[in-house]
Amino acid sequence: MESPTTANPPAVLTFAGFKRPPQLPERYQAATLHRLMAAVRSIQKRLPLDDSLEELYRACENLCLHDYAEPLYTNLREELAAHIAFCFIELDRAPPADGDLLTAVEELWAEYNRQVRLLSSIFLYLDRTYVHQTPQLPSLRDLALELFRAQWLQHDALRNRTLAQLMAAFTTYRRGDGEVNRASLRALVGMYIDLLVYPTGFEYTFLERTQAFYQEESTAQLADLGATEGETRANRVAAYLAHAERRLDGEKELAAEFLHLDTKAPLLAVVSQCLLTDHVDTLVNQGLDALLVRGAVHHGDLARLYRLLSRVDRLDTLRTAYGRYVATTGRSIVLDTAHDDSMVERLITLKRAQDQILAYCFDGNEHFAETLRASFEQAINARPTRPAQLIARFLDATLRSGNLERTDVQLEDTLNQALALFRYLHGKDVFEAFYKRDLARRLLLKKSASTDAEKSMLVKLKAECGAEFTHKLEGMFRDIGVSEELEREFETAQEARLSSKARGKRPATRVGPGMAVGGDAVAPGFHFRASVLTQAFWPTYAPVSGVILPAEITAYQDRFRAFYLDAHKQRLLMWQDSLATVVLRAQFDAGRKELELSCYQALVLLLFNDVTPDTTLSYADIQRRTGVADDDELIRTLQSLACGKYRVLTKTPLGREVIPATDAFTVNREFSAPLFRLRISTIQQGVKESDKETAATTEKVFQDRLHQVDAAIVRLMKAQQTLPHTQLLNLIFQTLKFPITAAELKKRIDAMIDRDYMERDPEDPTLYRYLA
Amino acid sequence: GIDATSRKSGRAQRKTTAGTDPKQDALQTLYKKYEDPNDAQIGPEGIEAFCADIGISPESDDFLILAWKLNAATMGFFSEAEFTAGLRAQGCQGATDVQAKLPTWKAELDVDAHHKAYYLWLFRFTKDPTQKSLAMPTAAAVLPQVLKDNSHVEPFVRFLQTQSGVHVVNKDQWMSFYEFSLSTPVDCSGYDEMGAWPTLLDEYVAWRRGGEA
Repeated sequence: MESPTTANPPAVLTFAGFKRPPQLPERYQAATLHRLMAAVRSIQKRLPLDDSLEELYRACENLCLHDYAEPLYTNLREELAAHIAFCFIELDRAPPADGDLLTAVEELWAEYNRQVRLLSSIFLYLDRTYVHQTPQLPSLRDLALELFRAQWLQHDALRNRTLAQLMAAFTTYRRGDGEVNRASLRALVGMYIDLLVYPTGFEYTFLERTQAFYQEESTAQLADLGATEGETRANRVAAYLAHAERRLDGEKELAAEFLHLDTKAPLLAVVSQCLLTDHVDTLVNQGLDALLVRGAVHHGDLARLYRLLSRVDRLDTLRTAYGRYVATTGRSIVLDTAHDDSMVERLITLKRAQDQILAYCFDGNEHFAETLRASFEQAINARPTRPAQLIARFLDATLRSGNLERTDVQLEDTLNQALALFRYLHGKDVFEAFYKRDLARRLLLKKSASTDAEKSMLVKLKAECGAEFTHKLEGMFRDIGVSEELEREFETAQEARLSSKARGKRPATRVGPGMAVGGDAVAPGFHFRASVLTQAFWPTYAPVSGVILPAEITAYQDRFRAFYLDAHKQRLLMWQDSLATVVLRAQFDAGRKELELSCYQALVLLLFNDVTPDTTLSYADIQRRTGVADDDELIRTLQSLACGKYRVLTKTPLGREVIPATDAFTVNREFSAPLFRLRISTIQQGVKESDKETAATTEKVFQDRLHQVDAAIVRLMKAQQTLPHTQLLNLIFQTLKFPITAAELKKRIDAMIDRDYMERDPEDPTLYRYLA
Repeated sequence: GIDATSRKSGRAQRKTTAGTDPKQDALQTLYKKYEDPNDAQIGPEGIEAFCADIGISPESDDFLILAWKLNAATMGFFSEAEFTAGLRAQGCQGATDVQAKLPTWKAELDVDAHHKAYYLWLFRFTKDPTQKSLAMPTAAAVLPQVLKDNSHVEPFVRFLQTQSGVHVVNKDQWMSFYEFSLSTPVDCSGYDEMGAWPTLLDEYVAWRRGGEA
């Protein structure tokens, strides 16, 4: 430090030294020592002191300064040793009852500490000088503790009884069934720590007892759990988990309040082990399913299970069991063939519930998310094609009803949920085929409730599977858009024609793929509408030949063809009459009706325009005149007109079935119905029929798959020129987006070798060579 | 192997057209003796006569081996080039030489590579030349002749005839069976269905494992 005087020479003070050291009175040391020891005994007996503490301190200092430290220390040790030995003998002589023991020991310890503190102050100078300078000599406090410990270790009975009482006190504390002197407990544990006997003298037994306590408690609580079921079991498990969590929190507080810092970790480990680790299998195997089936109100229990198992690092067990639950539940839904109709709804419900559980109970854990995904995937692919078909059907129903039953947000959510299921499908091509078939129907029959929802779904599919996947679907939308445009142009072109002609009172008829809408107020005559579909985009429809259409319609078809080909030369138009819908206006005795009909229904009804009223036409007549050669089709059509809800034809003989050999039909003039506009629904294709259609769609998917496999093989071989068998298999498995077995794949390889796209290496039969 | 033979015969052919070798005349004369003049090649009848002259049966191994050495393309026929150039390349000047060479040729088949070449050649030789694959009955007849003492042949032929439902055996299946029959134990142990074997062999092994002897 710098000061202003630094520059000046330092001032020197000189003391005149003592010639001789000051002399003490005779026998001063002995007397002082005696006085100090008397004070010590007074302190030990809690008697008033003759001298002030300061005088005693000075006395000690003097003795030390005059080379009397050693006798002082020795005397002091003897006093201390004698006193503590006396105290223990006293306790032995009149041992306190069990209930008073802890208090007695704690008081002894507290009093001893009070004495040691006081003595340490008085003899501070001794500690600071003599003890400090002499190696291996313990300070007064350490000496006192050493002496106490020696006694403590000698008195086995007292020591053991104290420990037993202490353990009993902790048990009482844990059970909460009695009063516990917390301060006393804290002090006693402190004593073990200060005496350096804590690890072996206390902690070991404490942890041992803790383990016994919780082993017993947890076993008792979980006993007979296997005998319970359902809600009862769930409640039991939930209660246990809550209890375990409370216990763990309680033990944490206990450790903080009473124990050495180092005991907290082993204590919690023991408790977790007894309450959780030992019972993980029971809790998870017997409890998880019961907890999972309960509603979202109980999600707290699952979250707790997750938290607790995370604590003991057993999440893997939980995750495995959870995956099993989801896979089993999902599989049972998928394999429940009797209730296919509700499969998708039930899967969505399951998925939604699991998503919530994952987010709220399992902390969004990504391993759990992956397990959930894998389990769902396993479940949904338990049947190869049906789930894909049903998801498509579900979307069809959703997009038909649109937001009539739900808000836009709910609709969007439903679409997303279905898409989530779609994502798990192995055979996405099966889905695509069915989705396309349904979409075609929605578009052609104008059944779609919301174009926005349709487009939104398309965007989702595109995002999920790429543009290649949705290319054809987009093409279908384009076709419909273009067709609407065409319709307007065609109408404009026709209007000139129509207005120049007289208008006959003919039924309004609309032909072509497209549902007629609304009463025809503008033109009471004939109204024709057609959609032009690009064959490559749309599902393949079996061509129908030989059907005899009324001349008016074929005339319109020809006109439309001419109109269209005029703008688009080089194109080929083919009429798909079987997809057509017609609205006819019919005059009955009771009044006029508008009938919404299929093409075939209309053809049959129109026959009766060309014959005298009340003529009866036989089945054979009708077949000949309409040209509908397919008996199934014609029977269904006649059934719908003569045996359904609206019977516009009368069949003789009467009956619910149409029998080609005997049946004949005539117009039911007395027909009446409350509504003006009637939709005569076609008889639902029988189960057999719709199965046939499904089978055909599926078959087409499988055919496409073969082509894709072949193409993949050729592409890979061409790129690599030579490939070992196993590698080729692996590469193809990676390439393909649908499931295929190795055996199927080998068949394709056989076929490609047979067709000379590749050959086996003459030297190495496991190596393939590409043949250009 | 076959390639070597065909190259040799190619060279021999060119020489034939170029010069006037007396040997050529001898073989030429021999050829003319059996030629079917309407067909400009030796036909089935000519072959029968030739076989009789050299003392072998046209249905025997001997004949197949002779045809192999001449690198004949089609069963039942020898073209002029096959016959004359082929015999010359093998160092034969007449019928007696053929008789003398036969044991040597047979011994060649003890060498694995030659046997394999012979086996492969049989596929081409015995099949209908207008077809890509070998008719199943032909394959069933040829296999026991070419793979003697192979314990897979008898059950495999039975499998082909009664179980497989195949009408033809293609070249890949034909050659793969060769490797298979040599490398697979008779109880089919250790056979890997995921391996590169054609499906026909997978099916054969499955059939065998299903309890067939």
